Amino acid sequence: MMNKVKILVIDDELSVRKLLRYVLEAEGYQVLEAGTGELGLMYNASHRPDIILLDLGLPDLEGQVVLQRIREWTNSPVLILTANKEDDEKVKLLDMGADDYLIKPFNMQELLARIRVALRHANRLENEIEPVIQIGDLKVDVGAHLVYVRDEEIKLTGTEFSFLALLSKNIGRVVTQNQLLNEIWGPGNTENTHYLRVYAAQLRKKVEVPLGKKLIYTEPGVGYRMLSEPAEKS
Amino acid sequence: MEAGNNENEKLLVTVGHGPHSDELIRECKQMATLMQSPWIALHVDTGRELSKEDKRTIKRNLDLARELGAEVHAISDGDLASGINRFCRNFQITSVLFGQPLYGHLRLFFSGGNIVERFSKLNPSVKIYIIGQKIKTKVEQKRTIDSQVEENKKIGLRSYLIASFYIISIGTLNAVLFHVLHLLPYRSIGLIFLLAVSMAGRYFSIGPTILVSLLSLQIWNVFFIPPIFTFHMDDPEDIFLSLSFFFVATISGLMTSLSRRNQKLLYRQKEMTSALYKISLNIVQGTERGSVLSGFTKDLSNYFKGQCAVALKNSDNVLAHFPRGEDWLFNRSKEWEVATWCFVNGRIAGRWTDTLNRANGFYVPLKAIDEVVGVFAYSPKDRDDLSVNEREMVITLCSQLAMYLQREMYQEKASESERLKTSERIHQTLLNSVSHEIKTPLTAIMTTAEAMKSKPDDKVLKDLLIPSLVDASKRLKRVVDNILDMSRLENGVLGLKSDWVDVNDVLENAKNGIADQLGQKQLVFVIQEEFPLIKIDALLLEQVVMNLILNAIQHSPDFGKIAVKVSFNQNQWSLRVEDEGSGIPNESKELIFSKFYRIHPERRGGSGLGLSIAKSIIELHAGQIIAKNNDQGGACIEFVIPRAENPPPMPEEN
Repeated sequence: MMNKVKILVIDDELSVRKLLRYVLEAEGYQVLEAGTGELGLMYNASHRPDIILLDLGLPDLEGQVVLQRIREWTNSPVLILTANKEDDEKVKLLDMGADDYLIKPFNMQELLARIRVALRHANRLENEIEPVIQIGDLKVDVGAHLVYVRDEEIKLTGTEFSFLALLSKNIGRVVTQNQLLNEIWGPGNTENTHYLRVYAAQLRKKVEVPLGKKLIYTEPGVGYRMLSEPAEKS
Repeated sequence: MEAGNNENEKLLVTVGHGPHSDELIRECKQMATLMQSPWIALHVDTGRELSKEDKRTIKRNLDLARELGAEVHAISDGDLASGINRFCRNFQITSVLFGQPLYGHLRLFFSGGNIVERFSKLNPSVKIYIIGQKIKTKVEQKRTIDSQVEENKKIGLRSYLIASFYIISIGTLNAVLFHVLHLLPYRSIGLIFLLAVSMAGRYFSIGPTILVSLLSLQIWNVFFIPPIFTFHMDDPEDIFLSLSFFFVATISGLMTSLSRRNQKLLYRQKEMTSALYKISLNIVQGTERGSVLSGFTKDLSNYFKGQCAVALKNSDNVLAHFPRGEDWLFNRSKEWEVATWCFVNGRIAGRWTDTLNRANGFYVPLKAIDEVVGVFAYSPKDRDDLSVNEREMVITLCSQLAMYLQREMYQEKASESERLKTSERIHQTLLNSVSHEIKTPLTAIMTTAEAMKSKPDDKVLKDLLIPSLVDASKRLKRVVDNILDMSRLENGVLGLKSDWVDVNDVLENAKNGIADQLGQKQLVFVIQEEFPLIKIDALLLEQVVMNLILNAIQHSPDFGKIAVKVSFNQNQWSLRVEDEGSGIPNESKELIFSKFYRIHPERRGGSGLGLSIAKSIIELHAGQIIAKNNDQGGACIEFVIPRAENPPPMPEEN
């Protein structure tokens, strides 16, 4: 039998840890609990968890510090939990390499979906990126720069394709504005968020309309997320 | 300052450098207390040169009067009696206290008689009290007077020497004209001496002028009036001439000297008055404390040449340091000690005073009614001392500033307590209104949880209870979110994070946020074609749209339609939410945006904060929100936000 996936929960709130343990163990994960940043870092070093849930606003350490020190030991995906939707810190952490985030109080289905996406993505990184990504009726041929909806080719400009490809590679995960702007338009463009609005609108018209469903979600102040199943979004 | 309540009487005591001035002041204080009348201590600067010691005595006496509760004034006038008279008329003085005059007869003769007599002639309506010196013995008096005369002589000596030198030079010149060149007869030489004496009045004070007059008479007599080189005169006409020479010369010399003195005084007075006017204007017209203080210190340092600063007390009634950092002049430990002493005791201290005068700075307490609000500090540059009048001017200005600051501090306290009261009231209302909205879902959650705990295996119960648990917690979350948003908006914590936003995103996200509240009601979006990007805070705007839709949901009938319509023009964009409910009564159209207002208080749901939050957010965006009714009935809430700029251009793409 395969080893159980290990999840490290770093949160100072006991009731949250208890609940998470209950829910995650029911899903077949192995759960490690840490009430402080220091303890979390210790478990991270000693147990090498497969994924880490990190709460912002720990009593002893700042989120950025914890993330940095986690990265000294492992590349495991980190999911940020935060109570404040206006908080800029989560965006900083995402830009620093955290995988995704959730606003408290969060929906358990959503959390489980995020964990699955993060694990899938972490595994995929090890096995190289697929040249063709199939998302329901949408097919993105990364190598050939072609996009199909139900085998019908969709004409996209170069930038539109880059945008769509970047979101497809990260299906289910949030991609921050900075990541998009840096990757598509190059460094020095991080202020030009209006590019993203315009291209997102164009892509929606060209892709979502023939597809007949919503695919690209905007997360204000954070970035964009492509979801194949809207149910994964609360 | 303790003002008496006897409005009819007003006492005046003149303050000088005499050895008994302080007794006179105490006497006046006693009289004022008996008569329950206000009293004033007045110093008249007659322009006479005084020794350092004398100046110090005057200042000490004025400080004494101030401490005893007198209103202190200092004026300038060449003539003491007329100065006092002028002041009495301006200030409606009813009685004046004088000490027993000490001057000798000669002095009295030159000053035009006893000051008391002269004053009573000028102003017969004022009562005059003459206070005898009882305490100090005759010998003591004599000694003090002697020592003062001694001191005065010392200062005078130099000018007497110069005066002698001056008249000897004139004599020599005349000798050349008369004995060598034989240009003028000896009587005309007398006229030249006369001219010289009256000119002397321009440059010397009274004593040296008289000396010049005496000397010139003697020189004229000995060297020019025959028989030459004797004090004797042959011609009776010469005797008469020289006598009248002496009187005319002395009087014209004295007149010139006096008029020069008055002119100087006048000039000084004028300069000071204009400075006083300018500085007090700044205090009276000042709108903001910082600018008043900086203007005050700047004006005073310009006028007195040096550094000036003001330290204020803080809210704990402790003197806070002077602005400009720790190691600034007045904040160094020795100086700071003096400033603190001055603040605690409410008395002048430091340089030129009797208290801690080793200090570099001169410290004046900013004394308002019943409290000292701060300290004024002055450190001179190239300046020996302040004159009596200048010192009084500083003290007067400081008390004006103190009054201003006291008024300011009162206002500050008042508005602070007003603010506290308002926020208390808000919290009270919030508590009342919201506790119901919080407790309802909370009760549902608690009872459900307990029921599940008591029968953990009851499948039917679980299926029944879990949806209500989820529903109650969602409601609770919404109320808590609203309260948090409201308090953040009120405290100004929520700054705008404006960015270019696609209005479709705002609407989509708002729809996702309220989807589970929609029930059987229908939500449609009508968006104008070619809608441009708008620069807004997307999260806050989402909140507004959600609140407006939730409001519409609450007031819509089942299967009712809720329409969200957005449109734009060159200058602004607007969003309206229309429902098919019963509309808003006219009298509620404004009220619905105030906190906790409900048209139907009996209906449950909502926190009474949603529209109020929406209004706050729209106003943060410089927009406006109004409520009206549709033609078909039903409510319509619309907001308009200006479009300040167009989105920047997009990069070209092939």
